[in-house]
Amino acid sequence: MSFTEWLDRNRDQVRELAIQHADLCLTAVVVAGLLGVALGVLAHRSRLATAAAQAGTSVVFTVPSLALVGLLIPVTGLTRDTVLVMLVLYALVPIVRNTIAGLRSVDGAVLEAARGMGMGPVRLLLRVQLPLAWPVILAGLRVGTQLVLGLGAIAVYVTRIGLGVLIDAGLARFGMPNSVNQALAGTLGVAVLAVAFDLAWQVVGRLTTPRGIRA
Amino acid sequence: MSGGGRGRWAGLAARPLVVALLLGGLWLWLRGQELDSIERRTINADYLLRATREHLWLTVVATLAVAALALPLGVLLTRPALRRVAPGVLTVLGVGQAVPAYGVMVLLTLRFGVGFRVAAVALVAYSLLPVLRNVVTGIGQVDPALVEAGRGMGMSRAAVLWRIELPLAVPVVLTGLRTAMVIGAGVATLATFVGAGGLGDIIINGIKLGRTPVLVTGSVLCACVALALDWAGAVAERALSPRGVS
Amino acid sequence: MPDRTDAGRPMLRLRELTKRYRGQDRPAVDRLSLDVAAGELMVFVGPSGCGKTTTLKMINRLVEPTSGSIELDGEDVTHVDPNRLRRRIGYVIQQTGLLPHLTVGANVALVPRLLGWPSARVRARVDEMLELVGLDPAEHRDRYPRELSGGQQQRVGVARALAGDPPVLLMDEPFGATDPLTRERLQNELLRVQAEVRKTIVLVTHDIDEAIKLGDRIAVFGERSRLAQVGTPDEVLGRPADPYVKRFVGAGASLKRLHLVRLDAVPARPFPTARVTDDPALVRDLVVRSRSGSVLLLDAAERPVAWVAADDLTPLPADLAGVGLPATATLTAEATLHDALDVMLGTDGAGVILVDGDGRFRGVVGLDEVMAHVARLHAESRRHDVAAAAALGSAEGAA
Repeated sequence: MSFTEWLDRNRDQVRELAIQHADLCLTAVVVAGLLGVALGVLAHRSRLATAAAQAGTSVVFTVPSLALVGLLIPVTGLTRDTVLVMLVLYALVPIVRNTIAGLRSVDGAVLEAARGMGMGPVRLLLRVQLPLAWPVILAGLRVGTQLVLGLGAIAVYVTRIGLGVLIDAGLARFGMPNSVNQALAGTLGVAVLAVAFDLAWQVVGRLTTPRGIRA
Repeated sequence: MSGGGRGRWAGLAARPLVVALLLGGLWLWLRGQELDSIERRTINADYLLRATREHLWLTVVATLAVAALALPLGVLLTRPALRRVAPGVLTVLGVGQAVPAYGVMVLLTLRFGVGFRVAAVALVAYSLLPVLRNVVTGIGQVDPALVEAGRGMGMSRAAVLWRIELPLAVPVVLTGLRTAMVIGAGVATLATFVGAGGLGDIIINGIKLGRTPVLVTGSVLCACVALALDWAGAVAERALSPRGVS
Repeated sequence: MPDRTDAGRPMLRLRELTKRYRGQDRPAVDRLSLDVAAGELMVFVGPSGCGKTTTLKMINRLVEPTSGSIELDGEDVTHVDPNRLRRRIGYVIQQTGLLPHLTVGANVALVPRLLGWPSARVRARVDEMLELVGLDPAEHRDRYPRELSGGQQQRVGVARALAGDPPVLLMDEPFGATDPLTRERLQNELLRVQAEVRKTIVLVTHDIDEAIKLGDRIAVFGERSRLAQVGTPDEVLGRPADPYVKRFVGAGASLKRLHLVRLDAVPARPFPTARVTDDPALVRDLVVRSRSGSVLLLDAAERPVAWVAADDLTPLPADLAGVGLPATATLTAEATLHDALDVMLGTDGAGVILVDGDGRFRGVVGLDEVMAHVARLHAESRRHDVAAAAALGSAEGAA
């Protein structure tokens, strides 16, 4: 059976798993986005906190995903939550780093001018620092999203959700008809989601980046 | 620079300490556990060492292969004739990076069968891009004035590449290789799915058998191997970067 | 006007040199011909985009000429291997181009190594070159470029360019990126080094003052490398060839010419002097009899100490130590009239004290002497302008 034929027959299953996958990853990115930007904002002021955030994210990035899952399972069990925590932790790495880098890259003269106009710290953050750092933060969110979508494929080893299910099924049916089609559907499905999410981020970026600093 | 030796290595001491603490904690914890026969089949020195060796070997071989591929390719992409297509090539490879490692590993296995080589190919496919990208950026960021100074002194193009461009790109290239190694160590855990062994075996066994000690042992070892490799990469970066270049 | 270049044979001969870039309908450099004599410091000066840097880079063929020819020391090098050619031509650029991953010593050693010198000779040469540019080899040889100041880096750049003992040195805005004080010091040092090594130097700058200060001859570039004027600084300042050069040289041309006249061109005035150890009463007599109403006190080594006037000696002090106005305004004969004027306007006293290399008193130069010389210069160029205007049948160029 050709890949398109197979896809046609199993369209409902593929669609359902893709939605699951997207839902899982989107949740992870939203949580990681809120958490990561908050952490970055808190950390960027102090040299020590920045160093700690960088060391922490570097350790998380270094630990392989399967090992991280293995360390989480004794705590949260074979559940969707385990996967979610793992995905959030990985997504945090680029988001926290880019938030710090973005905030640090804001020109000191601009900050001084804003303070000189009488802006308080909160207003300064919301009106000056975050808008100027936004393109860099956005890049972090994009990288985090791509990371999470790919890693979502191994969620199947914790609990049977997401497009990883198709890949796993393909491997389980090694040598049998349609095993390649199944694995291919799962793999390409993730890639398609990744491209779609990235396009979505580009649109978000276009709409939310102040005109004056758009590349 | 006086006293530079100290600063150069500071900050690298923390990593081995973390690894030692993790391993020590694991050992103490395991001593307190009553292991059943199934658990003992996995948690013994021979088996653990073998899995660790497989894991390291796979990662190192793949990283070396990546270096051997990415360096000449990157140099080629920064030559005047190809310089303009480099961003395009990197973008195409970047899109490829969106394909999940697990899927690639499985597809390669379904096509070419199980084994070390298939796992290694998957690793290489995944860690090629960061190295290639860094070779291209590393050479690209070399100040054109230096290249011109070299040419102006009568260095040939090859001499400029060897004496100026490559040495100055070393720090960036090494960072890329270190990233590649970390990615490789991660993808290597997936080698278990295609029968290529490694520490992923222990983790998957732990999940499938529902044995927490096995799961934790595999995960901690796996994390330690990755952290140690990353640390070794950092040490190599400091040691191999030319002095005089920050 | 004596031409310092006629004596030497041309070291560089540029003939009909043309550079056309693809996609541009007008050439960047258009049929430029110019000779540079051996041992001459030739400055290319002009506004940015006039093609002076392109012309310079065609000499070492970092930019390949579209047509025309380059001769180096009588040999046509338009088509020889550019790498071999460049090893015979030193090259200094504004950004220094020092390789940051090599020590200062290794940077200087680059060309000698490329030329295959034995390592002992290379080592000796590195130290010799560092000394030449005023850097202590022991202290600087093993340091990295980023550990040096901008001025020191630029010096290393010059040392590196000279290391292979090339007959020709090309310098592209070498001091463009340094602050005014450092630039002045580096310029003086270049003149000192050049007096020692006597290379054929082509230097590019957009700064007319730098061109006047450094150049044996100046080539003023117009658009697309049109050579508006080639001549000594005095010729360019005193007799600009056309309105373009005149505009480029700028308003202060007369003032700038003072840069070109060394103090020894002006007759120093003798001045009554006395020794610090002399009897104060005798010195007072001397002061009273002098035309300017003051006397210059010298120490035992004939170095100027103080100006003494009649007021300083009433009541009569027991001895002359610490009496009078300190005589600090001293210059050597190498200084220019511009320096002298600058010093005179900034200090009290009868004028600038001319001293020799050891600081011994030689004479005094006052405002009158300087003004007399300026008047002479004016008369000279007016005569020339009138002659030129008559020859051209045009009033253009009259001062």
